[in-house]
Amino acid sequence: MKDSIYLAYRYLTYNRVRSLVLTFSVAIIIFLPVGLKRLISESEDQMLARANSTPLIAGKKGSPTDLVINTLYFQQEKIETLTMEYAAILDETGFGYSIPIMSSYSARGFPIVGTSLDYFDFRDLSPESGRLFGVVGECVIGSNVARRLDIQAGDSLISSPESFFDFAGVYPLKMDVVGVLGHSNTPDDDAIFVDVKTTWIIMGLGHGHQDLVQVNDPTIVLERSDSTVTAGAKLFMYNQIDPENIDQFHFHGDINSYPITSIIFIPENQKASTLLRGRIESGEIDNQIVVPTLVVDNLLQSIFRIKQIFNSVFVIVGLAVSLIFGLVIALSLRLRKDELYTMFTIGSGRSKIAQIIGMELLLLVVISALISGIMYYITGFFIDEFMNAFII
Amino acid sequence: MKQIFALFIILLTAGSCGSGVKKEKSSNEETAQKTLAVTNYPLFFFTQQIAGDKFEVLFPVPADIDPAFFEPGADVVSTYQSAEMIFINGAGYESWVDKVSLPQRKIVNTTAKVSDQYIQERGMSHSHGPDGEHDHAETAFTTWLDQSIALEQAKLINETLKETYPESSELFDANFKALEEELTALDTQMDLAFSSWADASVSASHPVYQYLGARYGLHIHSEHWEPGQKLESDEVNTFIGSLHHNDSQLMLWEGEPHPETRKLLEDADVKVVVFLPCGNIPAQGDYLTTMKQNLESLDMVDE
Repeated sequence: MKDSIYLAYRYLTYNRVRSLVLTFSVAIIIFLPVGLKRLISESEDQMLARANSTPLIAGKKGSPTDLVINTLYFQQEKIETLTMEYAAILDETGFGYSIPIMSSYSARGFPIVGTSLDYFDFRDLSPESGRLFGVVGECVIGSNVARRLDIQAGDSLISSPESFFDFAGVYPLKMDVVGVLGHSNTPDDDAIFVDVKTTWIIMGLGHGHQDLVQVNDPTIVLERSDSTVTAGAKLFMYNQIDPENIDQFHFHGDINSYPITSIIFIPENQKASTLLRGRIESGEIDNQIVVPTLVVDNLLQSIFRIKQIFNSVFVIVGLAVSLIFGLVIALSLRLRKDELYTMFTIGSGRSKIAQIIGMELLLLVVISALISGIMYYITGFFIDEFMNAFII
Repeated sequence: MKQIFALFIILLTAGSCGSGVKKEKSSNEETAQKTLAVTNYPLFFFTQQIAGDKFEVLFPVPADIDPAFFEPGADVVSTYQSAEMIFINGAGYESWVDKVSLPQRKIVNTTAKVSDQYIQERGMSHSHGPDGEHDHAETAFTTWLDQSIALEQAKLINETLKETYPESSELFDANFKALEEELTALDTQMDLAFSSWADASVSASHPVYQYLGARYGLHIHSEHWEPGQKLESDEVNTFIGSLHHNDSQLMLWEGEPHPETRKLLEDADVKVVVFLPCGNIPAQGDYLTTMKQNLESLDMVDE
């Protein structure tokens, strides 16, 4: 047996190019259906777990899929915003409580998510180092953000401008990183969390500047009366909030009229959830409310159809490769006619020759299976990328 | 055999130590007080009176700072964040709330139900950049000086506590009833005390008595004078010149005025009364005794 394995091994290594091509062909054919199945089923599990843990999402009328994807995965598609007042309206129903989400801006490629402290309790997130944000201008980052940007509590992050060509637009805000969240294996690992009021400052709805009552520079103060001060563009606007200038920061108008992209609503129980949905769907309360599980289920149905098409393709491709594999073996046996005859004449029986050839095939299949096993293992690291590229 | 016996003894000892720690922990959990946080002294007093000893009431504002102008640091914010409930005054009293992160569903605005009684005051407006003109309209915030509003604030605290901790409802109700009687009596006393000043010209060293004026029928003109500040005679003369000389004059101060300022005012027949708004912890007594002391000061000048 050992000698058969040795001869099979020597034969495969002598014809290494042919062996490699055959090994990888077989490995890919084994891997593709199981790998894709893993990608899809794990993506599905992750998506459903995130959706199942989120009872209700309220937002402006429009695409429910965009609303859910923006709220759960912070994919910043342009969706219409609703006002903060809507959160108060939902809270007043007494059916549960609202968690506002404002996810429109980013910093160094990671989404900035404006929310309230209730979000962390709800998702059971806590800082691995540092603390949660306490004042406007502070942020808490997900574990992947910390790792990829190599930043930690005590460092800072600057929000990206909405448009590079909007010179007169809102100044980027330099945010203090005060904590890093523990790894949760969810999209929270890839987000930068701030108080929703900080996102309004990033938007320019709130700002800090020199105290106009104190400023006497005529190039800054253009006009002053008992009740009005008019300042020019030279007025210094703060781009970072610190203990010295925080009292100069203020919001204009009623905060309740400020925008948020969605609301995660946590109902007290199933009955409260149904009653609230009924009120919104009947039009008694404006806007839309969706059950994320239903929306994600719908989304996954489409992916299942694609998976079925892929499976059919794999069966056909697998069949074709098996035929080619058989042909290659038959042709190689014909090419090895003299070699087999020599083996026969030096005393090797027909069964021994069959054992050697069988061992060659077995080695090929085992190595292919090993390679496809490694590929299957590596696939586990690309679930998030797959979700981002093909599903979300 | 001896070794096995020794091992058995060690395991037994370790086991009993472990159970001891557990017992202590569960006993700590039982005795751990629930914490409630507030943003000014009247709310501290009302909450403490209603909640009783079962709750720890946190008021993390230093004694020498007016809570209305307090800017909390990260440590104070953290104290508020850790509380189970945060009672705020509302009416724009805590301007810092817009700049910090507090769990929204723990915040209870004690004047939310009387927001229709808020008194608006126009602030300085300014404009810069493309946003155009915007003003920082201000709401008068010393709501508790109107004792009927103070009672509403206490009532909301009681209702919220009962809703959140229904197992202690009876205790809260009993405590609230006692407080209600005190505040109602105080309201009547204030009404009576200020009735003789209804037609008088009343001034205030600072614009903090708007609700007091509205409730007890006073027409109050406010200056922006600090209690310790020594005023120049020109400044006082301009003020006195603006008064209607036929009326009797009363000026409310939120703290003892500078002796020379007091003398200048009293020389001009202006009766000076220190009426402490009691936004922070009083040096002596409590909310009720401070308000009664205020009324006694008023009675003294009345005589």
